[in-house]
Formats: sequence, structure tokens, C-alpha cells
Amino acid sequence: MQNNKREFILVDKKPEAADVTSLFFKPTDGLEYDYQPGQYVDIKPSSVYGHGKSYTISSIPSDEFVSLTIKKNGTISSAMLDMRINDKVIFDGPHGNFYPENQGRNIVMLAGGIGITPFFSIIKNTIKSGSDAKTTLIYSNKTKNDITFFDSLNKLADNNPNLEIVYCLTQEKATDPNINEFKRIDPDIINKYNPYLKNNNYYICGSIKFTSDMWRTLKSMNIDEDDIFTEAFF
Amino acid sequence: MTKDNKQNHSTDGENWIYSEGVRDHFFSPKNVLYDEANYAADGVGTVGSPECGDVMYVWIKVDKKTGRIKECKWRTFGCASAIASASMMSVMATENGGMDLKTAQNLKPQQIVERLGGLPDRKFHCSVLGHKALRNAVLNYLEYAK
Repeated sequence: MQNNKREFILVDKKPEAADVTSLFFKPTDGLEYDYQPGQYVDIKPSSVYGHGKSYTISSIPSDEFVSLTIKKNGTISSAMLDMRINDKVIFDGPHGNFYPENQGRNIVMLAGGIGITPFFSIIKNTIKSGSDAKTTLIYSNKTKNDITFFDSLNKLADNNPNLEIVYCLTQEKATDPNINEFKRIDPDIINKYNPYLKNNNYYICGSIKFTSDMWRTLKSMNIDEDDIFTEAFF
Repeated sequence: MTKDNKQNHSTDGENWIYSEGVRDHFFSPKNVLYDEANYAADGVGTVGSPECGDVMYVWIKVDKKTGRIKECKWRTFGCASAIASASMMSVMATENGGMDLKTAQNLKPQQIVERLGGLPDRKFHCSVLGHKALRNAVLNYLEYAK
């Protein structure tokens, strides 16, 4: 797999949730971009002084464009979201190892906020590959407006019996029939939607606090630490 | 700044904002390799870049019979948290007879942070360096062990 710097051009933008937008890119050299779902790229917009940031790829390799789904929360994310169609940027990567290796086990994903991005890519790729592994996504947000990829995720779940999505809202009640729980992810929720606790691989992605809290939660449920994989956004 | 609103000087042990574990591994780092010229490592991992300010190198020796890490050395150009994270990572990799390679590949930043007694969020990336550097060393070993 390549691991170098290549120039990409922005071809489209799409709002996904409150303060969250997907940016769609294609390489200017016209060659394919090889990556694993769940990986990320390092980017430093030319308008930013100093270090860049890492952003997870939210598309899958078979998609026409490479997408990054970014939440506006600082200088670099703002610079990325201010990019105009036909603006160019250098991708350094792909990097990372946050993707399920084929172990024949069911997968439980715990996502907090924008931590959904690697899971969106992994889920789409798992479905496309025809895998019969069961995937349970437990996705926590503050409000319904914060849920990224809500419609796309529901469509994936409606069409794939091996995918179950559990939405948890921590700061509001909603009457949407797709919203399941109105509290933070806790052992009760994990037990409720995963009766076979010990036969899963668990993936956690979100803020530093979210990933640490979820890791401690799974440990308190006697989940083997070797079965837990984490990716914290910082 | 501490809750007493005094400036936190690096030489002021009383108002240090880091945990006892971080201080211990910063002032007395374990398993540092100052010169790798004569160290016959089985696997080498590198992570970071000088441009970013943090670079970490890890060298491991693997017990071929047990498949466990028997030695883990490191060197880093970084802050106190990076030094402490690398030191703790090396201890975790080699204690209790040494980690098996699958566990070592998945040594999580959260585990390093927990053993250190905590790190400020702005230093979490230092524990990520330790996780990635060890993983790269294991992958390097596995690549050449084929």
C-alpha cells in the first residue's frame, strides 16, 4: 500500500449534520488511491501555519471519490471546510491500522460524535464484501441534529440484516423511531444489544474522553483487552 | 497554573501537574537505548517526524521459542510525556515474561495512560506514539521473520 504525499482536488461538498460536512476529493494525477477503510490521512491546508491534522477517510476504495467528513471545531477544520471546489490539498498517507482484520468474529462498534467516520467506511466496505459477520453499531450523540450520516446509516441497516444500529442521545429525547436510547452508552446498553459479549471484537472511536470511558466500561464487563481496539480523535 | 494560581515551574516538584508515574518514568526512564550501533534487534519501529516535534524509535528482541518480547529498548525526541510513555510502554512490553506479539500490536494508548496514572489530554498523543512505535517494531519483526 502506498504511503506518500499526493495532491488532491476538491470536487464536491455535502452537509452531513450540524457543523459536519463531507468533502469529496480526487487525485490530480488521475491514479487510484489505495487505502483500507478505517485509515486516515494527514493534511495541512496551505492557509494554515504550523502542524496539520489527521482526518479519517469516510469513503470506501470502490467509491468514485475519496471523502473526508469533518466537524468544524478549530482552525484547521475551519480551513478545510472553507475550501472551494477545485481547491487543491496534499494528502499524506494513508496511515493507521484501525480496521477489522478478518478473524471471523462479530463486530461491535462504539462511536461518539464524529468518531463515526471510520465506522461508516468500514460498514460500507463490510457490506460490499459480502461478509456475513454481524455488525452492531452503538452510536452516541448529544442531539438528533448531531447524528452524522443518519439517513445513510438507516438505509444501510434497512437493507442489511447483519447490520444493527443503536442510536443513543445524551441531551434530548426524540420521537424518531430509529432513536433507541436516551442516555450515555453503559454496560446495560452494551448487554442489551449484544447477548454474546465474549465472542465479539470491539472497536471504539471518538474523543479522548469517550474512548477512555468506553474502554474502561468494556473492561468492567470483563471483556478481554485483546478484543478491544481504540482510535481517539485529538 | 495550579489551583493556587502559582506558575507551574518544571523544577517545582510540589506543583507538578503530572502523575507520580509520569514523573518516575521521566526522571528515571527504563530501557533507553542511547546507541543502537551494536544492538542486534529483531524488530525496529519508528514513528513521528522531526517536523512534528516528536520522534520515537523502538527496538525489540523476541524469544523465538515463546514468541514473546524479551527486550524492548527505545529512544525518543520529545517531551516529558513522550519519554514517560515510551518508558512505560517498554516496561509493559517486557514484564511478566514479555508480551506476546498479538497483544503487543494492540497495546492501546489508554493502557499506557492508565499505567502512568494519567496524562493531560493535550499529551495523549504521546501515548499514541508509544502504541504505534511498538506496533511498527512488531510488524517489522514479523515481516522479516517470514
